Amino acid sequence: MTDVRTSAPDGFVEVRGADVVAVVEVADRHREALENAASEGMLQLLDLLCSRGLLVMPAFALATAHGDGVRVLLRGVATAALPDGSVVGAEDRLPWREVVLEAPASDVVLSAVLPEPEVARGWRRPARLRAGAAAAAAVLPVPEPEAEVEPEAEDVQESSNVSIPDHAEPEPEVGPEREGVQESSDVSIPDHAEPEPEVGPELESVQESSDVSIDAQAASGPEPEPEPEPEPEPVVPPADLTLPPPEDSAGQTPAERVPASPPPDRTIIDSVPWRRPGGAPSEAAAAAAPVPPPPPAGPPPPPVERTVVPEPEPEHHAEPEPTPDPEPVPAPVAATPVPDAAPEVTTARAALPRHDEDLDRPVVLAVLCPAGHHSPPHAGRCRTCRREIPPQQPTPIPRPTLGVLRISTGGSVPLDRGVLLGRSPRVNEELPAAQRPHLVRVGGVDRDISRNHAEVVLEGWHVLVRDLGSTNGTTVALPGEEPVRLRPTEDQGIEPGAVITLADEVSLTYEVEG
Amino acid sequence: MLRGSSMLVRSGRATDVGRVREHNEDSLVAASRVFAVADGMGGHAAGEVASRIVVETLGELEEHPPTSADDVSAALREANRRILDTVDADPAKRGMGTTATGVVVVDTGGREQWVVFNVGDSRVYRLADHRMHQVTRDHSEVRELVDAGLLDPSEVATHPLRNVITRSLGTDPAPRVDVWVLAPTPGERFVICSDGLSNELDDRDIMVLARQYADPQTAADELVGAAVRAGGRDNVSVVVVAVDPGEDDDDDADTAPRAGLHRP
Repeated sequence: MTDVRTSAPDGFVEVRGADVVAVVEVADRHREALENAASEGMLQLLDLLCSRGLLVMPAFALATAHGDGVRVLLRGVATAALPDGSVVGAEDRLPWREVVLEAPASDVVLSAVLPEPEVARGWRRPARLRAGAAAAAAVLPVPEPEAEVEPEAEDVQESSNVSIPDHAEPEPEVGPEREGVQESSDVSIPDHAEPEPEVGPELESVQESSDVSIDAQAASGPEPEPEPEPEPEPVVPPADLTLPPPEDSAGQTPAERVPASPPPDRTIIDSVPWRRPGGAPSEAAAAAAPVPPPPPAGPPPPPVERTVVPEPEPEHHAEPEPTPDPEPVPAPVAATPVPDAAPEVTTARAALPRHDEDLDRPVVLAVLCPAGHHSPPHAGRCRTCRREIPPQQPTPIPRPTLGVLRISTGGSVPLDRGVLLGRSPRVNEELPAAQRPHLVRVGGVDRDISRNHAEVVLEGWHVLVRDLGSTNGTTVALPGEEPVRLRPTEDQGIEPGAVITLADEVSLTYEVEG
Repeated sequence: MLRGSSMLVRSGRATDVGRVREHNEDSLVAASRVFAVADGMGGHAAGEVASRIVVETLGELEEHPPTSADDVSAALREANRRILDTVDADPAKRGMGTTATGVVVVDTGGREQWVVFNVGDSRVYRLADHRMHQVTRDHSEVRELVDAGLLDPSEVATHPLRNVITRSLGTDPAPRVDVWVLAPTPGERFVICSDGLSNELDDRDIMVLARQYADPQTAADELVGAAVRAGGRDNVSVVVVAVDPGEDDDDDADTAPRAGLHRP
């Protein structure tokens, strides 16, 4: 039987889909997007992995059914332990190495060999610069001896995509000839590759849970998320948020400042319990990264004549490290000739088909109406133009702008991110830009509206309203219904046409523009 | 001193070609509602053309005050179209593009709001309460690598991809524009700059210099001067916007409960 199991090391996530199993070196917040893609198939997963270009494609080990056997794709530090006891790595091959086991193999373990703490150099896991380490991994002994892991095979296998009747015959020793594995493995075992797609339930949960990236799948990963330090309790102000006036800090030295790059996930919101629609970012990555040494104090690259480099040339960056030197040499800069050629010329990355926004916004599942508008998967009619939506398979997309809030006193605010409404709305300044809501000032001078009065939160396709313990309250009138006063901190989902009223003074209408 | 409707706003602007470049491809605008920097790119002076198109298009918002963040995005889409049209008319300008970042006073909801916008790796910083943070998020390859945990922030300055931006104006289709609506706060300041500033000075230096001078024009001059002295490897452009601290609209006074409204 072929069991594809995974042993995702720190910094890797495990992904299982219809016909593919993989471990990928990405931040945990990308897990859901990867699973969405994997649920559609191997090609969709690969497409997502290289969506930012082959140069920055993360390391991965991926196994997919191939006739009677298994295809294993390896990139960067990722490895696969084969039934013969050997562990193969990518061996410098770009964009990835492919190993084909023609006949059903008994057991394949996808993993990765993390190199020595050379990460102290700052480059945490640039797969293409780690090629040397990957090559070394190819001849390392099996991390988990087969005899040990066999007993648990039954459990782990549940969601494995390839399961083939038993025939666990440990191969003698293919050992040194790694190439032999590639084309013809000696393993000859009856086939029955049966993919077990579990798309149905997964789609369901994806749709509901919007962009939160922690789910049950993570439980099957052998490595628990590292929690290096207790998450500080978010400060949840009880009622009307009384922030100290700026003058309160007047005595402080002007030299105080926020960190240049605050860790995106550890921020505490000091003013409102604002959510983080961006999902849980790379805690593992951030936590595992050692404190880097101070930046190289060497002289900056010498100024050169203004040279225009219209496109970054991939060839330069794709070049693997010339020597598999495990020592933490300052490879990243030295290995690439481009910087010295044109250090300060800004270039647009127009050559790559997708833009960063694809991964910046939360991913939602969507169906298309005949006019090309996106709607939630189970919508019968388009949320924008009300046309009937033909039956189709939902696809994951970066969440579109859900509409606008039209303000009774004039103007509007786009619902491309959350909105904080108030007389003088404030959030923690250190909140990462992608997670910061619009701060919209409403109300007149009579102070009926609280400083932080109410918030509008986007979760997946849902728009939720929450009163922040305001003094004079918030009401929501769903289309065709009477206004209902919100209880503080209770979420109220709203539909297009709903009217939010703050302190009976200013109202905002949720509109979806056609 | 300029008055952006009810808000009392002062601003200063400065730009320098730097010590290495022959041309200054940056453009900037600091009027009464619109404050922006554009960092152009492309050979044969095309970068200057692209960045100038952007600030001119944004400058038209002075005549037609925007009422929503979408109006600002629309102006940038218009600038994008004009850049493409210019390329069509003169193929020698192929490949020209520009960043665009800044703040615009928008009359949303009957009150003035700031709309901060960004395409590319120029930046808007906001200073308030003795703190500074970057409002915008760079659309750059290195920022993505940092976010993905693939690159340590300390390595950004020397990274080979540090000058590769992932969004710019002058592309087809038009890039998505990041916008943030912000409530004006008395005493706050914005520093809008091209990467010629942020690559030469660290955030701490920027904050100290931006606060040190009450006059925003002096602050802008000093920031640009410091970046040029630090190396000036690129064009340096800075707009400093200061909201008058004297304005007091009782933001911090308590909200008055109203009779006749009953809490649940």
